Amino acid sequence: MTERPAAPDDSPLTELLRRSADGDRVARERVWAEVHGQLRALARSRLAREAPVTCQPTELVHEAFLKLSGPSVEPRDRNHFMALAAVAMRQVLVDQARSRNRQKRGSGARPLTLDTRGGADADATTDGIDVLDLHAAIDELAEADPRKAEAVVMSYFGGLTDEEVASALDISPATAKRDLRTARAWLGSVLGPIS
Amino acid sequence: MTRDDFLRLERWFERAVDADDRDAVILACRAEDPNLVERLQAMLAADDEQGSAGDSLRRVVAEEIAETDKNEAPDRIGPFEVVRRLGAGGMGVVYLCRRSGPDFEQQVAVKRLPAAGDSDFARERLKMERRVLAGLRHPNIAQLIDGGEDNNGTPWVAMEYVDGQAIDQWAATRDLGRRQRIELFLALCDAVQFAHRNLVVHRDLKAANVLIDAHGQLKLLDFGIAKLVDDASADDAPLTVASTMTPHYASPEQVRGEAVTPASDVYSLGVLLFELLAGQRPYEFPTRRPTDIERIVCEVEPPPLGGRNAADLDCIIARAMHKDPGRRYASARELADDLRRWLDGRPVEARPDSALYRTGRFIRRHPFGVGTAALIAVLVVGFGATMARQAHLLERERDAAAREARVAQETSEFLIDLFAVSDPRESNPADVRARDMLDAAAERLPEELESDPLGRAQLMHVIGLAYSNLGIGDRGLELLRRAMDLRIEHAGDDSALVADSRNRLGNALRRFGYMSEAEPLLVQALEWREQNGPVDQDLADSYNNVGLLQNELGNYEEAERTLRHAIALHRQVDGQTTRAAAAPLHNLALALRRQQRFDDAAEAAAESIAIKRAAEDWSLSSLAVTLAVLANIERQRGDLDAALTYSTESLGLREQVFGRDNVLIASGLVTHANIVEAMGDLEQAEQLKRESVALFEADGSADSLRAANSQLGLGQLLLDQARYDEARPLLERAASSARRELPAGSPELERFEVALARLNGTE
Repeated sequence: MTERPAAPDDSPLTELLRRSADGDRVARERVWAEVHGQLRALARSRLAREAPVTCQPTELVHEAFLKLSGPSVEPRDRNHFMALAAVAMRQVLVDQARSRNRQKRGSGARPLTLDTRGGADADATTDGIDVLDLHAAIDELAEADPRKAEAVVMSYFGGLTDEEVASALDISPATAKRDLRTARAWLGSVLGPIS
Repeated sequence: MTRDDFLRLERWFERAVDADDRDAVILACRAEDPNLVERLQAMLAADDEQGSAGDSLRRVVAEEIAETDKNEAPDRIGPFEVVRRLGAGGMGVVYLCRRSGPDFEQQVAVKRLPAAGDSDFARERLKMERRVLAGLRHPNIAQLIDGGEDNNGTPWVAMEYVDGQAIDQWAATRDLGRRQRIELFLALCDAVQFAHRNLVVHRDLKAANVLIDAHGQLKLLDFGIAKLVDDASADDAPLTVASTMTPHYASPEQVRGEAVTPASDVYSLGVLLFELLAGQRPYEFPTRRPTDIERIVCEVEPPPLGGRNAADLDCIIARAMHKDPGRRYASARELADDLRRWLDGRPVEARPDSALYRTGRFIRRHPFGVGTAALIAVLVVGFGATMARQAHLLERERDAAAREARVAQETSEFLIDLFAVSDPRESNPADVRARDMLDAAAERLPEELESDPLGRAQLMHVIGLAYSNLGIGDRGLELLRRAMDLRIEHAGDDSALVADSRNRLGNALRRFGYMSEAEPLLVQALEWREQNGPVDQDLADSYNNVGLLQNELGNYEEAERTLRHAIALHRQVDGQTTRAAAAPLHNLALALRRQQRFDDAAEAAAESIAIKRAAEDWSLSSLAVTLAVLANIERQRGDLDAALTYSTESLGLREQVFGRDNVLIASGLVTHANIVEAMGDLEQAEQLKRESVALFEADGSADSLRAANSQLGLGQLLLDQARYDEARPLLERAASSARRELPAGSPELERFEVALARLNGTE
């Protein structure tokens, strides 16, 4: 089902990623655009055949990565890609949730309090928390501790493992693990008692 | 939650998580930070839940992904019909749109910006900015056409759609010369000047924003858009500062987050000019850590362009890219004026900073970075593994002093990263600048790290190695000796650090031909490592160095055994195909050659060359040396054509790396001379050998064993031609050095004695 173009060794994405990791904004934007488009396309094609609830960011991001680059990419580049993809994914999902909310409510700002989707939409397992709440909480975390926020975005929106987060952020795996544990617990505490 | 509260909360949380008695920690928190205790408990509860039941926040993301298909590109934005998506970035998504009326059709690029804040104030500010930008009409500026908000409240701006190519690519495709590139760049300066006069700063000048359209017209995009975006996303910024800026073009004040002014645009113009003329950007960033980016942008000077008449252009770029906004050109026009002067062949106004200003500034900012910065080129060419080995050693030292030294170590490593981006195969360690920087670093040494003698020893050691690698023996040996003394004093004679010093100093002494002093040092280092160290590359390296010494002292069979052991150790440590074996293989070839086993020798040399050619971490100079060995072997085997081929390549590489006037190419000259001599070109042979001897004279090391070999070569040539008066002083001097450095009865020494005897016998 998934088309895997034979990855040319000089995959332009690899070069873009490297430049992007160097801080080249043009490269970063190009990667971003690619990832963004791929994520959407993949999410859509996936929905046609699978139960939505199994959609995990990890799979999407990995699949986008394979489509764009092929497997012969160095782990470091791969992790950097995933980190970028996580940020792109966050943006995609937040934009989409915002736009949906606006359509539902007409125009007007999203209430600052927790968004509880009422009625049949409500899902018992998430206690009415949606991606915008998570987004806002992560922003709040970013003010107190930007690195932890960045790490948790990679983890939640990119599905990166703790080790991959460590590599993408250039910190030790132990530090990443500790950061993520604290960040997750902190977000859990902000988003209210769960169950 | 304030930063401080968060920090304390984090500490409590970590304590509680690690504690056996969690309740005790909660009680302590209640007593010391009562306002945080509730949050702490909530965090612990969430942590428990995440640990046992899995993280339910992940599900939130998964559910939103399931919604993805419902939200696609809009059909319309404002009055425009969306044709297709052009791209997206941190600045928002850009669509190609069109607006058609009864008698016109207009294509525009519409950029959707991140949602503005919900406040009326934010909206008003955006509108005002848009009005200013809409008033900016210039043939080289892509016109802002319209702007508004869509139904969702997302602001958008419509700009003149430019179907063009980025300026750097355009120039590259047409293979434009420097003058043409500068003329192109002048149009950009005009556009920027025009906007500045209208009090608009671009803030995001970069090649990708400067397009050349189908008519060859330059168009500058996104004027002022960066500000709209910054304003809009000020309260809704998911990205960190480091990821939204363009570090390659960002001025020091921009990376520091200070006020952005027209001078910032002048800086970015300087970067663009550099990129346009050099074909690459002035800086590369090894990491995207904001601190690294800031350090590079704020402290590293752009490299020179190179090429003909480039000195004035270097001055112009340096002035435009000056770290201090006050010292840049006061406007884009002044920059353009200076470029016009250059085009007209008139003197430019930009002058380099005085040497005093430059050195003072650099050294102030790099308390001990000066030396290490210069090392990079050197280490990359010569001893790339040194630093890694240092780190390894320090890892083993457990005392506090060694930990302090690690601070210095890490700093050097950072700088290595910084400079490692340049291709080692193109760098030239004999570069005057590298020497200057080394000298500056060495001068500062007495003041460095007073309180940290081992850190200081480390710096001396590394700088000493750098000098040695540059072929500057006196300084290198002096520093290596002082580093060793410091290490003996502070780490103790019986330590890995001192073994490292003995090994390195001994090897440098051997390299410069001081064999009698080298021998005990190398042997002691080997003994220490055999008894105390692990079986690792260091141990193999010690065997290699001792083997090399044995060979040069004339103990060829012993050398062969030692070197084969070194190769075996490397392979044992790093696997059969390890690249580290290239060095001992090279040396083995030398030892076999001296035993007249030319076929075996050629095989070992070829194996070493194959490794060095294939592996990036082997330097060109090292490849050159092995090629020279193979050339010698082929000459002795009688294949002069092959010998000449290898030798020519070798000499070319050495010249490329060290320059023709460096003593490190002297032995290559002798090798080459011997081949052309064997081919019958005595004149050229003599000239090359004279050149080689002269290099040692100029270097002040004419009494070393190395020099003796060159003198012997020239002396023998003269002897063959019965030019005894010319040969005598050379052969006598060579023999005297050889007698001093080589043990009596050594076959190496015999070569000198035989030549001298021939001279005395024939006369």
